[in-house]
Amino acid sequence: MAFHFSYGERLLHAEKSVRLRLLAQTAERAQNYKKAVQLYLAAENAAHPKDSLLRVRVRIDAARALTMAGAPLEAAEQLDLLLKPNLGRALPERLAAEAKATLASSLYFAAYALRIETPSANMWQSEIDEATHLFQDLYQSEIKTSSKTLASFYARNLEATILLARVRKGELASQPLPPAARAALEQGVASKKNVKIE
Amino acid sequence: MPVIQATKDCLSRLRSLPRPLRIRAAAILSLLLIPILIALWRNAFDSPPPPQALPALPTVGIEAFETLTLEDPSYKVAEVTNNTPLLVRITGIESVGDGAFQYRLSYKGLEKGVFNLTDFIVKPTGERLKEPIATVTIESAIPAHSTYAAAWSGPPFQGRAFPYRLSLILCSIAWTGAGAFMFWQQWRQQQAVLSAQTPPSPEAASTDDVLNTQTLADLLRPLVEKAADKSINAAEKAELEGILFQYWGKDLELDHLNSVEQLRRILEHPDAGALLRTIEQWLYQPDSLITQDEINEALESYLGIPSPPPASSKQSPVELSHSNVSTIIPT
Repeated sequence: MAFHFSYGERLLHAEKSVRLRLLAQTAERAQNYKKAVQLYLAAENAAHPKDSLLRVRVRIDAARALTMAGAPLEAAEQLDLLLKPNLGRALPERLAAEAKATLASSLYFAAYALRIETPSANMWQSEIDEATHLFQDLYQSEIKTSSKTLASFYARNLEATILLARVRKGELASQPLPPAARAALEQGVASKKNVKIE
Repeated sequence: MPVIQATKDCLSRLRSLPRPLRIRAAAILSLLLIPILIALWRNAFDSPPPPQALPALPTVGIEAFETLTLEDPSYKVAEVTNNTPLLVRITGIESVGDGAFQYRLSYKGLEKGVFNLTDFIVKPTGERLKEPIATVTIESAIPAHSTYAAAWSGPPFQGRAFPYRLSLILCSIAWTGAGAFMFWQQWRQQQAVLSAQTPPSPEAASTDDVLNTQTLADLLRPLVEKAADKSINAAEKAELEGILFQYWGKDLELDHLNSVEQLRRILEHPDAGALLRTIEQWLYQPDSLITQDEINEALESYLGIPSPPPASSKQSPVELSHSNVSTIIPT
């Protein structure tokens, strides 16, 4: 009984939340990103209020799906909040790295769409700088681990971010558009950014 | 307090179930539960992805280090423009003697290619150094023929959650099943006792069966029959009292009392003292003829009670014999 009313209830909530998360992942793999976002949010609500790890994990998932759905700036905002050190205790290392990587990707796709949509570097420079910084940090942390599993992933994205900053607009426009950047363009990322600046 | 009495009876019956049987039932149920839970949760753990090989040389955006020996300590890094392909930084200069200086440089490629580090260092006059030639190679981390420069991750592995709800149900079933199994064992034992009351054919029951199914009534019957026909001797009286003391002493929690006090309490008790009082009455009537029905009636309350194991010195603090058992039964 003591177990049930301490960890048991958490397990009971987690069971429901994980089921919704699996459904969301299926939707995400099927590129039905809007449905995936809804299911991830439902999964977060189903998790036990004290199960902060599961809630954070699901929120990262939701941000990733949001980026792919064409709202990278909103996703970046959510992840920024998650990574703020003054909100309770710090995240576990692995989860924080996952959140940072998702944030960096969101910023990259936002910058990509903004670079295509707007002529001014002011509109995308901060996103690119932050993404570069995050990928560099992640790479440096990853090569210190024994497995180095994600080091090449971070190195590739770091290079892609640097290339995005240096490439001519015409050259960029002639390259195939990543799906997340295309979705962001369709959602009018520049107007959202303008609203944010104002 | 019939509920308390019923609970006591129930617990007493459970306790009377042989210990190995109880352990075996619990062990079998536990062993059945473990593989079921493992099978349900087998998909809950992720296998780590295979690590991808890192390029041996620095890639675009990754900082690397080099040492150069130059003859002047006053060299600087060339101005950086928007098109600079390599960012160089002097992190330290040390004299190594003979007018030579060791420059510790860190560099970061912004494009892939082969570069001469001294192209990015200038003399105090602003002229590029160019020599000695110190080439560094910057590789690309983006695989050739990739459609997109960046890579993005899909949903991470999510195993099944621990099936807590199902575990609760299984545990409840196992708990109930174990209880039912123990009661069934007890019921079966009682049935065997009842069937043993009808005289079995001599070849039917082995000695073990008799021992297993003997009740307290069976144990008391020969002594009570002797008391009924007034042929009981002192030792047998002590044995009779001893059996009753052993049973009622435990049941009424009188073990800590001396034999006189135990006797007094047992005689006062309406159920515990009934048999002793009846026997006493028979023995005070030397000419009376006691029928088998009267004997059966006297032993009726002991029919369903399994025969206790032989008293050992460890179980009973007082050794029961005719020397220390009070003889309430007249000689």
